[in-house]
Amino acid sequence: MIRLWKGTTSVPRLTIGVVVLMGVCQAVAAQQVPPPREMRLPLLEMQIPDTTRFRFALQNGLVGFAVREVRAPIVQFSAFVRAGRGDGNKQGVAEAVVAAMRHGPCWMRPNRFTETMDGMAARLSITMTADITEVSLNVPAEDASQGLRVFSGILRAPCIERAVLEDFARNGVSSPTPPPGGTVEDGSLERAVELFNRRLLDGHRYSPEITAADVADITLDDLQDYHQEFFTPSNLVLAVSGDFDPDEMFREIDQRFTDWEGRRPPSLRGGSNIDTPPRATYRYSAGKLQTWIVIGHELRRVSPDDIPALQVMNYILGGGHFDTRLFREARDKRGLTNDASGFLEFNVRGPGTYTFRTYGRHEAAQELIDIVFAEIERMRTELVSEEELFVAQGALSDGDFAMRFEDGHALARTFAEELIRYGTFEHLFRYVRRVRSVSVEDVRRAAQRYLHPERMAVVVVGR
Amino acid sequence: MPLAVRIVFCLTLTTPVLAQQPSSYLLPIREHVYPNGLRLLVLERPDDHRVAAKIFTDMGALNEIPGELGAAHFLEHLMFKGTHTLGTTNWEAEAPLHAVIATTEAALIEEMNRSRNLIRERGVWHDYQRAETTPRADSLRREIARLDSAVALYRDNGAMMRWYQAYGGTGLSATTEQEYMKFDINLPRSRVGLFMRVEADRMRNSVFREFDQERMILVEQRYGDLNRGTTPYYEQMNAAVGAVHPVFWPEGYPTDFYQYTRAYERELYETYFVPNNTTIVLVGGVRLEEMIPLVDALFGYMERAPEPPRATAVEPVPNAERRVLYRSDKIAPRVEVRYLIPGVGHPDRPLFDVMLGVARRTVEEALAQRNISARIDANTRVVHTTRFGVPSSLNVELILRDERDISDAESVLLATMDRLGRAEVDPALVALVRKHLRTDWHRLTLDAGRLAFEIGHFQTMDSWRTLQPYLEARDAATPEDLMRVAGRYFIPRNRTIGVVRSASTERNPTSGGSR
Repeated sequence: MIRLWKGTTSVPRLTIGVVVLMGVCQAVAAQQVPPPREMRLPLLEMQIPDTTRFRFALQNGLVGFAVREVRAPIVQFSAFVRAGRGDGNKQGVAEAVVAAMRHGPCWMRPNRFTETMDGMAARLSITMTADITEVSLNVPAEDASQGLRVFSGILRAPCIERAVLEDFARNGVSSPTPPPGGTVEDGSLERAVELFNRRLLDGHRYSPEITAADVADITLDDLQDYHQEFFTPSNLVLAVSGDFDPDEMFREIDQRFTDWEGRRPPSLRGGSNIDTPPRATYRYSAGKLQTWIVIGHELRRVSPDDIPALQVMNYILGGGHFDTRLFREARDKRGLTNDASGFLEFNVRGPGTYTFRTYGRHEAAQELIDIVFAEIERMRTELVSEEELFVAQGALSDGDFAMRFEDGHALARTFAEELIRYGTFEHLFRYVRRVRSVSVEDVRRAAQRYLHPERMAVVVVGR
Repeated sequence: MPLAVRIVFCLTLTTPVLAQQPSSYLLPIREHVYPNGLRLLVLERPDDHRVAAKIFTDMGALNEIPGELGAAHFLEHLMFKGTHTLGTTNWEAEAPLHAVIATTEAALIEEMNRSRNLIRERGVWHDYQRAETTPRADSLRREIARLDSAVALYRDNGAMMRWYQAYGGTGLSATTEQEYMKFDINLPRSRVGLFMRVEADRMRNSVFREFDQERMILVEQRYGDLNRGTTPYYEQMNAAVGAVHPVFWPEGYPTDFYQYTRAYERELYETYFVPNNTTIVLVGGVRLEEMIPLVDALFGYMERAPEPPRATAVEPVPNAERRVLYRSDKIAPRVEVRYLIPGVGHPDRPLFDVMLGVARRTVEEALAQRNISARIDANTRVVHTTRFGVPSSLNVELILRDERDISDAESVLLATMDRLGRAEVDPALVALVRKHLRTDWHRLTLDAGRLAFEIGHFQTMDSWRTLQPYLEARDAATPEDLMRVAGRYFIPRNRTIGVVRSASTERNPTSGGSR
């Protein structure tokens, strides 16, 4: 029974403070263009919709968010689960459960599942971090009922069978980690990141590496235990969005999930910190035209209060856009690389990683490494400019954050993800204000607190 | 013309175009064409608080010349290097330096032309030329480098991006393919004027700074392509499929990258970046009536230019089957067939989108019956793009587990493609493929940026008005339609067969040469 539904199902709207088409309309002479800061671009006042308008809850403890989005006849079902790679009692169990889910529900033979998915033109996506799993099914609106039935089946009763485990044994084992100085056959940035993570997380339960011995040790009971413990109504949040009739959708959600037995929430473990050694370089050769470089260390669990300053700092240093300090130094001014960026990867219950990734022709590799360390040092010791701060604050609040409410699909997803991560919407509602209040001193403090070049690992794949 | 008068005049040209009958592909695109030829296309989504904005220029690799392949793509990179107003701390001081660089480069070009017989590459394996440079050329290059260093003193890096980011822009990117160059951004709707300000400036006032550094970025991108073992093979296939058309040319060889000149890039820029060769596409929470004066304020002063030259190459009618045997140990063995197909705007083209799905599934079934293990890649890709306004190709590639299956796989592939032209396929299969296409389109429309791209892309290929009928034609495709086009195009003289075998037996011809 759905107990709570108060919202309308119209597309959520953001209130924009001043909807005027400013500046440039006014008497701009033919070839004169104003400096962007003098364009008097209007401030945005984002008003995040009330979450309770879209929230539903079943008696078994399952909660979710449903948002009607009618721009296209598509429906998206997503489940965010508080469990990931680090939660299995054995290495590889969580990944094996994901593999089982990809084979469909237990009450549907795998080939029938494939046909059904094909017939719906459906898209199934399952992603897993160290502590969160996301399962999503996207179907045409005309197939929403059937899609929900399959989706609930995948969540509640995945195909945990001997054949699945055998398939996982063939395809789920990681390629061997070469020793430092060894050769990597398939050199790429992705491979360099993988080697970095394996080295950093070696022996940690967040490690992504799965050996043949790990797989041999996994039993069907392990998979069942993992699924039963973590895939329980009180440990996940649903997001349902798209072109549907609300009453009908609620009825169907109720029908598919209400008899899912609610168990006590699992006891979730936190991930232990990673002890990293002093700075060291690990080189691997690869017979390609470029060298790939990953530099970084663990990112100890970050308090949500610290996140805005850390994100502003990373945005200025290497935040994945064309105007970072790393990008300007390495690409614009010297033409050494197509990209040099910083990546913050947070986990909720344990450490994540903070890495800097770049690549270029072999002879540029050392200079790229030097640039990364020089810019990190500058970040730790000098104050950023007011203009850099202004740009980063605008980009994070009016850009990246605003996009999380772009349409009904994004809204449902944002609410569900926030609830699963923090169990509260407090950080979401305060985010913009916090980003806007970050000072240049806060940025330097974040750099000093979260950037530790003296214990960064440098993984070099190439020549 | 005074602004107010110009707006009134422009409004009379505004042409709201709505579908005449209900369609699941209803695209209420509204068009406005300015007196200078600039085209504005707006798809209004009143509920959206943001807008996807793109500016398309009708130029790309089709407009390049051999020896300078990739020059259009390079121009796109240069157009991120700033303008007179963005990217410089002191344009008055910087401008004279660019003038000297231009004359120095002209002298360098002249010196290279004078030395043509000395520096000409003569070796098949790129292993023999009498000299790679001359003392005077080296001296001129050093002088350009010195001048570039002086320009750098006034450089404000990142300025073309910075303001988009500061004001909430996301998805900032640019792309150059065979038939278009575009710049894109997604902005809060109340700030769309920033797009007009930056893009008008970029279109008229670009300054090519850090030319030689950026040249190396193209080398890096090319290396990235070549790290994939399939790239040289696909380029050989494209060269065999097309006899003359530049749509089949690669995105530049490393030998091309070192030949780009500022003068040639400037010529491309000034020829093609004119209002009558430009389309602005906006999808999101804006109204055409609001956008007309906004665009006019920044682009309206630009004068209509002579029509840029079109790409004149016409692919000759194919009259012989072509075959490529590629030997490599870097990629899996495979067999492939490619057929020339018509471009967007031709009534047969939409049917090939359906044909792709039908062919993939039919070949998959035939291979399974013969117990041949293969991964199938069916696509209409040439280099990076899958649709063109000129003939391109439909490709069905079988990536095999076992090289010994090549012969059988080729027989099955060719027989299956041939059969598509002689017997109707199951209507249920056609309906399923159509459903996949329809659903993919609906997914795409949720993303304003992707929808804006399709509108602009169709405009550069043919006309934005072609898009909706194109989608409807796919959805109306019948088994008879597919049999008809398969019978017409899937014939031996219109096909190119590619086979990839291991390289173990071939001698390496590039060794043993002398320079």
